[in-house]
Amino acid sequence: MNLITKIQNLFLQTNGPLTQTLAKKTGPNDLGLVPHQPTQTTSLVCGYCSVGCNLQVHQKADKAINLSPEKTHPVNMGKACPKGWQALAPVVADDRAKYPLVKNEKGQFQQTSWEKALDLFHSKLKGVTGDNGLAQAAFLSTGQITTEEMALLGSLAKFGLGIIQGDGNTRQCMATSAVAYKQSFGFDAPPFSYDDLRESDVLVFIGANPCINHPILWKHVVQNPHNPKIIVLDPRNTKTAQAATKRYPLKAKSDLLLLYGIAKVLVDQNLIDEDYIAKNTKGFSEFKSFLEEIDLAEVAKITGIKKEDILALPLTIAQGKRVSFWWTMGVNQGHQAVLTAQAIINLALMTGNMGRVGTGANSITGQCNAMGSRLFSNTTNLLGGHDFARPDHRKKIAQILKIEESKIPQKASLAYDQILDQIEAGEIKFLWVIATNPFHSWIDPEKLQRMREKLDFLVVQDLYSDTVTALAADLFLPAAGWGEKEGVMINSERRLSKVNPVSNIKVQAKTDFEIFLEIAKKFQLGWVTEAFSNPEQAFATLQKITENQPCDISGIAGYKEIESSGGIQWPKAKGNGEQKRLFEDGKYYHKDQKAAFLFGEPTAPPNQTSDNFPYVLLTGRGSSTQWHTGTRTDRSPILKKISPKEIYVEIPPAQAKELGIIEGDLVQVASPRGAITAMALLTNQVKLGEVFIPMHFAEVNQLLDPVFDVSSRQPSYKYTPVRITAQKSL
Amino acid sequence: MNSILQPLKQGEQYAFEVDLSICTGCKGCVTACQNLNGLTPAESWRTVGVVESKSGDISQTITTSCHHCLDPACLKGCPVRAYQKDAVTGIVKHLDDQCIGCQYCILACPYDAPKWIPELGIVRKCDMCTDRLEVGEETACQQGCPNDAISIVTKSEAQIKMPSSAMKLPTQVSPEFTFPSTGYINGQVSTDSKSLNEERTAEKGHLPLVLMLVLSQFSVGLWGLSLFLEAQAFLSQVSLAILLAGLASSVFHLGKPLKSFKAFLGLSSSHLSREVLFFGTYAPLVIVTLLLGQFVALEVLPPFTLKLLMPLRMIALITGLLGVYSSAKLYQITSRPYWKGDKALLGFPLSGLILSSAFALTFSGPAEQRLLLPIILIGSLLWTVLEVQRNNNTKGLLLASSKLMSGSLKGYWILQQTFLWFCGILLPIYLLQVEFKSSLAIFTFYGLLGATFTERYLFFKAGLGYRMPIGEAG
Repeated sequence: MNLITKIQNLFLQTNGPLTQTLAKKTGPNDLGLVPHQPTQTTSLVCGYCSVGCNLQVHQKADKAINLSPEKTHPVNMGKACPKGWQALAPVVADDRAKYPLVKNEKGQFQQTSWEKALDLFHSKLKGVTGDNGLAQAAFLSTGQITTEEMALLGSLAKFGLGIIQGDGNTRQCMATSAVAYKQSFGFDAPPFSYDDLRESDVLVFIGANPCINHPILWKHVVQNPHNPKIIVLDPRNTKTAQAATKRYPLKAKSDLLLLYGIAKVLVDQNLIDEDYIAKNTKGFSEFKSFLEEIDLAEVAKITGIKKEDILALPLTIAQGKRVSFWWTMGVNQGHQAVLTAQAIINLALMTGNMGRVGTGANSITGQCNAMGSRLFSNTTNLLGGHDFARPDHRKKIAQILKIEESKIPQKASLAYDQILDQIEAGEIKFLWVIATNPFHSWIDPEKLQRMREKLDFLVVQDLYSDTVTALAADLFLPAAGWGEKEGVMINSERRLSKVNPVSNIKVQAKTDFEIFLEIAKKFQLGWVTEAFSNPEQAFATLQKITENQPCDISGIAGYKEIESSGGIQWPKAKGNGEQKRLFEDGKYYHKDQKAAFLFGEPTAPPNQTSDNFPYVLLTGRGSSTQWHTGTRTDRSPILKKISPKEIYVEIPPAQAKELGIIEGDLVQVASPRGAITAMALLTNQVKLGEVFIPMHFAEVNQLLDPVFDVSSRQPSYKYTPVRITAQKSL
Repeated sequence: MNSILQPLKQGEQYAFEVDLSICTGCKGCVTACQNLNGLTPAESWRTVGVVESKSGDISQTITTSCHHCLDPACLKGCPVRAYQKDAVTGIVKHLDDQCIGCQYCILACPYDAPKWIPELGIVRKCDMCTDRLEVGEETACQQGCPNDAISIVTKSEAQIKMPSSAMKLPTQVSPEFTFPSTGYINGQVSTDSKSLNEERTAEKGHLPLVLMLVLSQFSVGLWGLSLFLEAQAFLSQVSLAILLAGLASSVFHLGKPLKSFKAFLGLSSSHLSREVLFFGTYAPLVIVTLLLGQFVALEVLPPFTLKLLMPLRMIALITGLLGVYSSAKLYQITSRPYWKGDKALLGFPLSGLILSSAFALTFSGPAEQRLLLPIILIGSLLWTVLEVQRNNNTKGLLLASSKLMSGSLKGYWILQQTFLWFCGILLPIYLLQVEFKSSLAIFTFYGLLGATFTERYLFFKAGLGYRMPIGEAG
């Protein structure tokens, strides 16, 4: 710096070290102007939700320094939600678990070595394993790890360790859709492609709030060039409902009846596609006679939707040339969830809105790899969407994995709630929890506490040792996270995408894949290391497993093709191209190739409101900046800053006035099961008689009754009678 | 300039335009600003707020950043000229290396655009990604918006000044204050819409400024009294000591104290620069006048220089008073309603006068005059009570301030009252009954001093600024 500049700077310094910290340069690979001068980039699919945005991680000498959404990727086209933008923060967080931990006699965690940790795992599991090789043990897994890891865990546990009971947190989000599709179509197969969001002329959203929960899906809707009619069925006036051309603010959990009402009008006014029904479906006449019993006046009364509005909806559907139906947790988390999902499928089938561009009965998935879990977790289905009960399926898997057929259980695992029941009953004594936080997220957190007392040994495998679940563990295994490992995830539109290591693991954590392999070695299970020697080879094994299944991915030329193509939608069988949209030929996966109309009597939720508990509490995602129980999003300083800090309850202003509550007041929310304190937030996003609390705060689940859908065993998070009392009047 | 932008004509500038009908409040823009600008982990120059529509059934989310105003309050207030409004683009830029971290721009901006970065000790703000616009790229927030709700448009001065283009959002300062350039289109909200999820919390307390203000005003008061009272030497020496303590503490307020010498650069428009200049003159004058007698006694200076003493003292007093005036003015001219009117303009000189007279009465005056102290006290008490009355009968931000006083800041208000009542009145009365002692007046003085410090702390804590709607719940 010359003297003149120095003197100038004394007065007016227009440049210098502080200015330079923000200097941007054109980055590699079309990044445009970016900070920190990255030297290379790696693309990988986001590890939060099921939209499957691709993110381009900026690297400098192997170090991940930043990221931005991949500009040309067909899913997200250069965009991401706040969680995606901040996906690196939880990986590089200072409070990552740094080494294996074991509880000492005082109940405190103590650092231990991997060797000792795995020895302990081995001896404790052996201790609960009988002579028949079956362990009194279970695992609870996740929709957040890679497909290869899920398949490895499921195979290792069930065929190797004798842990035949296992389930995932996907039970809390996608079990309903999986069962509904399986029963209606013959296979758990979401039929759509995101293109359908852009091509429909009528979009019907049921219990879905993509504006906040899947912002990048909503982007496709915004870009729809057909000026589409957007119908939203939701008890809450969500941002998506507000963006609708017509919204149906039905009463909580009256959705099934409303959907039947719509079907009835379609039939009565002959707005159905008889040709499609005759050619491609079965059970319609039974459905038709079932609908005769539906009384529109009663539908109007129970749903709170005016009769003329109910009559208008089928007309809109019938007038649409390409109508698509989209649902998510509002449907999946109910006491008659599977029937509700199938009622939606029925609407698509009876109007012939299937298998064409811009149509479909489309379930938006929750977690980034819920679809991977549905196909490969080896819990409810045998690997690759096979059936534990079918000898031919067991034989096929046994041959591919080179194991004795007898090692394969002939029944599916128990569901999540049933596993917890068994623990409480003392039947299961060892529990292994992987990458999930049930002590916060499960509908009945108290049960988890009771369960903990009954358990001999709880192993928790996660990135952080400070989650409520990890804190309850006897043994904690530090796992690597998103961005530190390789594998495949499958998104809502059945797209297989890669995750890649972009950040070196700086702590003693191992990838879940490595942990599973080391456990396999400890138990001397040679076949495991053979079938799953590394992620890519494991993927090849899975490809072989899917041969001749609806989810056949045997035609994919390994990781390379997934990476170079921007993801591939299943199925892609050998010799075939990928299939963007299913059922274009009208052929379904049942033996008779027909889709089934399935239905059942709508019933009121088991717990009704009363004078004592007059309001219905709904729960769900509260913001686009928080994910699930916040174990990851809370570790991003900027996300934390722009997220709600404390638990709040949304109350309609008119109701608050009656209760003498003003904005910001602390109120007590009580259900028959418990009471919590929350801050009152007055908003017309909820309607009279209903209140809403976001699920990201642990307390809320204490209020909920463990009510489940009978066939999917998915918990109902959307209907709990509560009482609201101003704290000052307590 | 580039392909995505219209070229600017004379008198035009670039401006943000937000299509409210497609903003879903996902906050992608907030995080994209953090990522793509390489900001510190919790820093972003964008925020998203929520406002309820007139009909009550739309919760309108509003993304906001710097409005690149025609007449930026940050620029006018900056004591070091760290803000520039680009002559061609109209973009208001902040010179990070010029900033001394005084944070006055944060107090001055009615839209909360400048952000304090404690890790760096400076303020930073949105520059509309000037470098990206120059090469034809979208701004970070544009890149972050999934629905393309944010655009960069060109606007003429006349368009910005048009009342119809003013932002129609609740609890806003009048647009004439700075003429913000951002356009919000297709919204369904109005100025009487309810700002949602927006519980106002107290502002920063700025302790170094509290000390600096109270002590500098106290010092000037004492200096003034010293010109007329017998105990001149004592009072003027105390005045200097207090002043130095006050000025020293003000340095602790700065993020970049080593650059504080630049603080006079903004003289032409910044009251803060003027405050620095006046106190910067007052302090040496006080020192010189105090030393002059000594130097003459030591025969360093010839005796006739003593004749300069009185004029110099008077000049010192004038600069000191101007300093106090500048202090008051710099707060009063912001848009913060709590600081408007006589709050600072009368309150600052008055507190200097009260403290200095109480001090003089307590430590140097004849005992019987100390009976004046209760009168000062009662006056101060009445003042505080009247103020509460006054604020309770208001609307908007002033009401929010008084709510804070009876809410989260109640403890400080009670403390202030306690100082006045207990130290100032009750304790002396009790002690008087025991035995009349001149030293008892000390309690009264300390009561007043404590009350003044508390009052000044509340001045900052309850001095709520206008800002764009916020609200975290999605």
